[in-house]
Amino acid sequence: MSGPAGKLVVVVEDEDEIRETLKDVFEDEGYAVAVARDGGEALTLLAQIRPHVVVLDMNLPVINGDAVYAMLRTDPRLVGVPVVVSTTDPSRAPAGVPLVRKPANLKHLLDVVRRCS
Amino acid sequence: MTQDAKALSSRASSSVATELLARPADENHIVQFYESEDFLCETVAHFLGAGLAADEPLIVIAATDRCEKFARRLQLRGFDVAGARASGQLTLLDARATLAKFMVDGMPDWQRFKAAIGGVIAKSREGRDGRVRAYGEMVDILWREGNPQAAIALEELWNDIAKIHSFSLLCAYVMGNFYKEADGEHFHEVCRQHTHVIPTESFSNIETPDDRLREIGLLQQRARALESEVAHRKELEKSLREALAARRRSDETLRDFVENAVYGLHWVGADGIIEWANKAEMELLGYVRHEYIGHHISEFHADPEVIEDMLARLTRNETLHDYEARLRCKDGSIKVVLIGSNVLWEDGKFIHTRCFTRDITEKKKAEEAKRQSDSQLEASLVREKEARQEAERTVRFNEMFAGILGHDLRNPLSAISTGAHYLLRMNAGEKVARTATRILSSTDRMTRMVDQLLDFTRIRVGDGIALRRERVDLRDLCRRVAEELEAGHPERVVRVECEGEAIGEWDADRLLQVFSNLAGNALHHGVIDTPVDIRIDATGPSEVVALVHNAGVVPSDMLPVLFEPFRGAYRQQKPKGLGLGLFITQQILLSHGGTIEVTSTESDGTTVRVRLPRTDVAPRSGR
Repeated sequence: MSGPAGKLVVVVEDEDEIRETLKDVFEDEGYAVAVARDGGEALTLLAQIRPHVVVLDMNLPVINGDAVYAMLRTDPRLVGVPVVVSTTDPSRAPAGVPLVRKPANLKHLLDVVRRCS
Repeated sequence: MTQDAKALSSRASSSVATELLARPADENHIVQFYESEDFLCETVAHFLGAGLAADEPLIVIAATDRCEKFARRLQLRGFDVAGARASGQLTLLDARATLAKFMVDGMPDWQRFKAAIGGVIAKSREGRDGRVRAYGEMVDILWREGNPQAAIALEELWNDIAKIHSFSLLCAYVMGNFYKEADGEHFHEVCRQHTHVIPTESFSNIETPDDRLREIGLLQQRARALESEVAHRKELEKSLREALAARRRSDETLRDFVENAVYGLHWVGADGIIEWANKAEMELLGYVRHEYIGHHISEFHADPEVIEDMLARLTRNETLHDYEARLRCKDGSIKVVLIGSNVLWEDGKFIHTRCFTRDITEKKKAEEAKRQSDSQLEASLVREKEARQEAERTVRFNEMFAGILGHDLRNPLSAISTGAHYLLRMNAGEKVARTATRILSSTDRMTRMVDQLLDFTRIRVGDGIALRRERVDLRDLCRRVAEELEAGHPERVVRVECEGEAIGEWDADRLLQVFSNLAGNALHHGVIDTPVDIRIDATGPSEVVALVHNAGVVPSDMLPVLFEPFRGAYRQQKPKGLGLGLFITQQILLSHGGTIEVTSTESDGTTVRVRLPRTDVAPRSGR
């Protein structure tokens, strides 16, 4: 398993505490981290960068997680970018997508992200 | 002398009748019909006077006053009546007294008659020659008294006695006796009993034969006209009788129509008194006639103001149509009726009302029942609407509650959990690690409870458990459960056996939840030194059966309520959770179209049998 050094993770999360903690955790692990607090910010960000992995919450303000995921899967530039869904409601997660249920076990989340990125 | 008498005497010599009366032969039995008393007296005086002049014996049987009249007439003619009586030539007898001598039970008796009259004739002839001349009006008296049979019988007796004693007899009948059509036969009989018949003065007084023939012609014409008139009258009478009968039948039909009509009918006079009522009216109210007719109509109305208004309107010559009123029956019950009425007026005078009464009590009851039922229905609709609105409010509240549980509560929990994990990874010392571990443990428990409450709420709202089906190997899943449990409880053993390929389209997270719950229960409530066994039978093509077994025993009173929600809340011991675990486990399996059953005995321990269809079949609805 390759190390995360220099790999870019985008964390899309509206809960400030979670988003900022995850940013710290991923940075501690050696990832470069970009964050978005809602779906709109996420799309703006992803228009500019192509991350190695996206950690995506489903319940988001402005533009919902489903729509963000749909855009990622239809944009040819981003279609290969892995997505890990982190949500309180697993039934809303798209089929076949790696899922980490909230409240997340941090170790489990890091394992899943490492495998994907 | 009267005019009739003058006329009679003036043509006496030329008149057959006058001649006959002056000189009747033996056994002549003459009848003289007459119209006026004066004519009779003159005729009899002529008859007797001729007898006196011929020195014949005379017998007069007449009413006493008549006898006197005859005597006066004879005196006027110059006869010595007193002398004739004194010498026995003239015998005057009272007719009624003479009748009394021979009448028996209203009929003349021959023997008595023969004795009485024969005696008088014999006595009259004593010492005299010549025939006896007699005048009698007993038959006239009998006739006038309405006993024509006796009169005719008496005439016969006169004829019979004429065979014994020689005499000539003059009878007189007033013509008025024979004016009725039915008298015709008797008149003939009277004529038959006499040898000579002399008509009344209206014919007898006609002097010339030519005039008499003319009179006969007129009389014949009158007789025919009268017969024709009688026949015509009979026809008329018959027609009248038929018309009357028809009228009677029509009256009876009309009477039957009103009397037996289906509607009640009655008449009320201007004074408010019931004058007449038909059978239907009586039957409607239950009275007999005298209890109703003759009483004031207001006695039978339950509402005084209603009958007052009705009478006032009728008096103003208004017609009432379907006027609703309540009538009091004999048994005290009330009938609701519709009354139609107007008044029969004659020359501006109120004669009586014509009231038609129609019973609508049953119809009113039905309407009232329907109204009540409608009102109840409306009330129940309102209640139902309120209940639905309340249910909708509850659903909205539950959805909101579920939203809070699902997202808003779990996000801060997630933040706490993530923070605790982060602390653990910092290697910040034993105390920090211990504290972070406790925070994580509590967060996990709270997360489970929130998850369970969320599931429970969704099940209750009716949404059920949403599944995220994917290809799952139940053997692997159960092994993972066993590993996690053994990791948490190193002293315990959880064994997994599988026969066949336990692959199906299931929700892996939810089945993990199911088997963690079942194996966890077996671990916590089972016997400590015995293993927990998970045996999977995947040999069937369409379903997989898994048995979770341990040696522990579920109390028998717990078995029936094992899958009830919040069961733990009623347990004596301190609960580790909300008591929703088995309830949600059952609901997850039902959502998969599967089942769960528990058996527990002292000898065999406790076995939970789970059956899972391999693919999505219509799930059984669960709650």
